[in-house]
Amino acid sequence: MSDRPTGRAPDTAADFADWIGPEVERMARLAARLAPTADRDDIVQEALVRAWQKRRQYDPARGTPGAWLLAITADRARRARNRRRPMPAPSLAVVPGRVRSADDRVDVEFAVARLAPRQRLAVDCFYFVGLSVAETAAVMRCSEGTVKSTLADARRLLRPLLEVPE
Amino acid sequence: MTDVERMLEDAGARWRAGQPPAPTFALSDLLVRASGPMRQGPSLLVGLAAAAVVVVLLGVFAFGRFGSSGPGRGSGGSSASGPVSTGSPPSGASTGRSPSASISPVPCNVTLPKPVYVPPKPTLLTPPAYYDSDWYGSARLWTMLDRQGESWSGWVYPPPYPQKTFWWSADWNPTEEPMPAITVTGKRLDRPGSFVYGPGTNASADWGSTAMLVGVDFPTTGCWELTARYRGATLSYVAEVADRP
Repeated sequence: MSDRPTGRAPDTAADFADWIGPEVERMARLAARLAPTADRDDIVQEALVRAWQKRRQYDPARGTPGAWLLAITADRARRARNRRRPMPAPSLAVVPGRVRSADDRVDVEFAVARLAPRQRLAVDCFYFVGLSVAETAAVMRCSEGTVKSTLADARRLLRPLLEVPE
Repeated sequence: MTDVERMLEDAGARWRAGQPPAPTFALSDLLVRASGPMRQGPSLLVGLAAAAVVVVLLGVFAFGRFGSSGPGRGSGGSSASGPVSTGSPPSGASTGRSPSASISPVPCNVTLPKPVYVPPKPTLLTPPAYYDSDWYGSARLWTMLDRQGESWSGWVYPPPYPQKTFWWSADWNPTEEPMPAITVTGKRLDRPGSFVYGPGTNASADWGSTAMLVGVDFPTTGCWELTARYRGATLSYVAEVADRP
């Protein structure tokens, strides 16, 4: 996305659809990660409509289209998560207490779930959704430096939870 | 790269690999539909306003005057239990539910969490405040109900309408029974209709509690009674499935 032209958002539906098309996959991943019990596709659809309605507010000087769309997606995901039954993914059996699983992924997920909300958001965006630091900053509405320090704090806290020696 | 970073990178890569393909939308169509009211805004709004004025005037002529109390608001083809007329606000009706939001021919008497149930520890005595809900049921089987009753709407896709239902039980141990043998039946109260779903799976709430989760699909909107059964315990409540908020 970063190497794409970053002018103003197109003003016709067809052009706008072309403009946002490459971002839909990452928007879907972000929606799935931030609101695992909500319907991912509903969130993406809401975000696309929202972006279309606010297309004139997009300012290329403030970030790439991808970062802008991801920030909108994160906002819609938060709303979806809080709107109704914000329960995490049912597919992941996480129970109270320390559970050592044969699958490291479960342990990592469990440890990440114990982070503070902002740290968890940073880890989710950067490591799981695969966003850049700049895009993570757009989602978190903070500076890139804050993202880096938040990630560093998160890794420090995760170390004992993951039983990684110092 | 540290071990923690590597574990996070690996976990993230595996999580991404396990994600379903990106949704496919007819983006142009979606955006055109979304922009319809914007493009036609003034004329559409004028039309709606004119229609509203006509309806109100008809109400005035039909029912005499605004604010009249007592019987008589239901006439002209609608029964007293039918949708609320625009001509006369119901006196003393404060259910907080809009009957017009549902296609149910009668108002749906959704279940309120009364009496409020206080579950055993470690479950929170009341759900977190932002749920605006209370526990309902007993130690053998309880659920969380909105204080105004459950009303689900805002569906984006055509029916069936999916909804996740969450249940707790002191008899359930998620580590021993990750797929609880719980069933949820649905019975439509205002028209024929039924379903049954089960068993459940487990879901971890954001405050740390683990619930039994049963996903159900409502075939239609309407007034539905949901009944969960788990290890001999039964719990029912009535919820409204509306086509719009």
